[in-house]
Amino acid sequence: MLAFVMEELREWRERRMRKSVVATVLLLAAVSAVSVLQPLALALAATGAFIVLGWTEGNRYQSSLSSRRILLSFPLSSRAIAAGKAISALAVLAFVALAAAPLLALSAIAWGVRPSAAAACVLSWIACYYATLCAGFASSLVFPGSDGLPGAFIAALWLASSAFLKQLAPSNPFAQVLAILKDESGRGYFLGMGATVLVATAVLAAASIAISAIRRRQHGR
Amino acid sequence: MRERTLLSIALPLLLALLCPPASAARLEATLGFGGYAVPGRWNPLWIRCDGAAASAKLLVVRETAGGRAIGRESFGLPAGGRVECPVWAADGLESVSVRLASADGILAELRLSATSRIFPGHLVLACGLSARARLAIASVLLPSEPLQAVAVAEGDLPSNGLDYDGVSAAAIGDSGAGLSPAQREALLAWIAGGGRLVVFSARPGKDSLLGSLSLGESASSYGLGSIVRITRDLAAEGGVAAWRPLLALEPYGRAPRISASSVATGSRAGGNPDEAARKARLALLVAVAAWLAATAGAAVLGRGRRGSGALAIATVAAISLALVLAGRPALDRALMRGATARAVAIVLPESGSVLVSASVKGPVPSEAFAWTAIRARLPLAVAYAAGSEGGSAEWAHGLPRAAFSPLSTGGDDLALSAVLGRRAMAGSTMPAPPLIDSPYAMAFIEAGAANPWWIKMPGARWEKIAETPSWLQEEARWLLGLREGRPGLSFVVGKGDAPSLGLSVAGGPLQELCWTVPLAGALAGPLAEGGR
Repeated sequence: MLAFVMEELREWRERRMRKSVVATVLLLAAVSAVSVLQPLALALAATGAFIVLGWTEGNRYQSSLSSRRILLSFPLSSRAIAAGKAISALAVLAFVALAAAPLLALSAIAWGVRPSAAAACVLSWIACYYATLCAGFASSLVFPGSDGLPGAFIAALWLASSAFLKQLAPSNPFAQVLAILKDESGRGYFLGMGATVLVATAVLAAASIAISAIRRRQHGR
Repeated sequence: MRERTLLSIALPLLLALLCPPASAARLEATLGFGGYAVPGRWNPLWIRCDGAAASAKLLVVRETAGGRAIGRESFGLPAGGRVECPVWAADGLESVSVRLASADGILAELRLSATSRIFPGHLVLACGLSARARLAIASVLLPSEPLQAVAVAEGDLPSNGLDYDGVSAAAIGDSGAGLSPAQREALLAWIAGGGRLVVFSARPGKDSLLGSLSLGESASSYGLGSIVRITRDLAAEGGVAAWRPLLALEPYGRAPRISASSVATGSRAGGNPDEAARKARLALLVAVAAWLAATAGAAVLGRGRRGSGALAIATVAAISLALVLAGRPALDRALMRGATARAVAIVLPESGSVLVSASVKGPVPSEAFAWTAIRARLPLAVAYAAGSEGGSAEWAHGLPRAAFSPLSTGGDDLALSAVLGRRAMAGSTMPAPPLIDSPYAMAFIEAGAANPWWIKMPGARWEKIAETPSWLQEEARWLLGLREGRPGLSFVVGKGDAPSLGLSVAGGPLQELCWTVPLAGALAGPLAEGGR
């Protein structure tokens, strides 16, 4: 599995690292300049950036891409591949977050954000990144010719419904960071993060089953 | 059987629909003593709430004639259901709305007029006095001006020093040591600032009212205030001639009392918070631009070389992060956490209490972000959060009893006042003797002198100077105004982040505070003489 993780990270470093880092950093810097490092604006922008980053990291195993062939032919069980994908993607998140960390720290210090609130925001970002990563990963495997549209639709539905339905609000990453930074009662939002991670893990498990099915079909041919 | 089951389901449903919901929350509120508000002073607002869930909160909204909110405060519900909230009776204040709110909306609402019963004159608290005695008190300054003698139960005496702001004198029957510690502290701070307390039916010993205040039986003065102790029962005393010397009131406006309103506007003197906020914003944007340039440079320089791009970006990020974290104290000082605070305080040494007022300029834009936490290091730490609702900031009290109260919460500007008592000041090193040798910048304003300014020179030597010290330019108007209203008093003035007196905003470092200690003539003379 370590070999798979290293291979994924190597590929990311050579092909997508600059794009991911520069896009995230530019977005956050632009929001900082407009809002004078206002943590609420910055946290919302970071949430959006990590959602998109998670999706692009997951949704890159379409039938037209060589990454799909490498993934399916890697000599590992489908479960190990799914787990390796999650680990490598979290390493990618850690690197991008490290690049953006000085800006986020500057904002937190300048506006006096409590360390516990900052830590809760980081948890929320990890949860939403992981959710869209799993959604994109499963979508690109199950619908190889669709450019990930069905998965994107479901992810958008999740974000929209949780934005408009009060009962689902705790699972909305934007609502989570708003609640954390505005010092509202956070227990429901932590449950929402937990539920998001659980559902995403179930989707990752489904992706692992999909890998097995695709492999069986390929060998059957 | 089936009918019976249906009936057992339908009957409770029908009853639930027909019966009104269980006991609704009840809200009662009174503004001012006896319903009288003294304009330009802090007035007590008492709120009583029964039958509400513990999660509900009380909102106090001050409104102008046009219904515009000029201040919002919120309190959690206390165990006894009673809240004491000082309200500043500003010029434009028309009404005060008290709302009981929960997550489901407004449960109950009351609107109190702040202009229907106003009394711009002396207000005397009468505790245990008959109507005849109160009428006599109300006549002691006639025919020049009437007084308002308000009957107050001992349990209803304020527990917040701000609420004594409009009270000129108090006549209290000694019923023993029945006052709570907070009530005693508020009463002492008021006397120390120049209040006059008349205790009748006075008892001897520690169980008496004066004993519980730690004032001796022979005490006739305390700080700038005075105490009259009479063993006779004055409850039914109806003679104006008897009350006149006991209350010893001067015409309203000439009374040289140091009250919470003496300090309330000082924090807004001088300075340009907008300029400070602009500099803070510029500093932040320069830091962001530098970081962006370094990250972009690392990404470009590492291009094409295997692995070196990631290494360069990671290195830049790590160095920038280390710089930000290491530079945090400097950032705190330079940015003041995005806020500008100006604070002034009057220290009343004998009671160990402090009248403090602070003006906080929030960062822009601060809407929709609960950012402000004020901590007075006295050494009491109180942390509150100011959020915002409907365009006007809301001052959320951390306790059912208000410690700091908002003078105004308009826009990003937040002006707060408090009378902090002896308990809050425990361990303070402010009172007189160490004051003179302290390392802080200090001045002396001499009573009655045409040129009142003295400054402390090295070696604890005082030197008379021709004009206002440069470091007190911003507060000079406030200080001289304070002196004009009280010609018999001299003032020691200090500025700097004194160890036991300061203000920090949003958990930031202690910020500069201008403090003054009023000294009665007898004390001021030797102090000034000693320096010459």
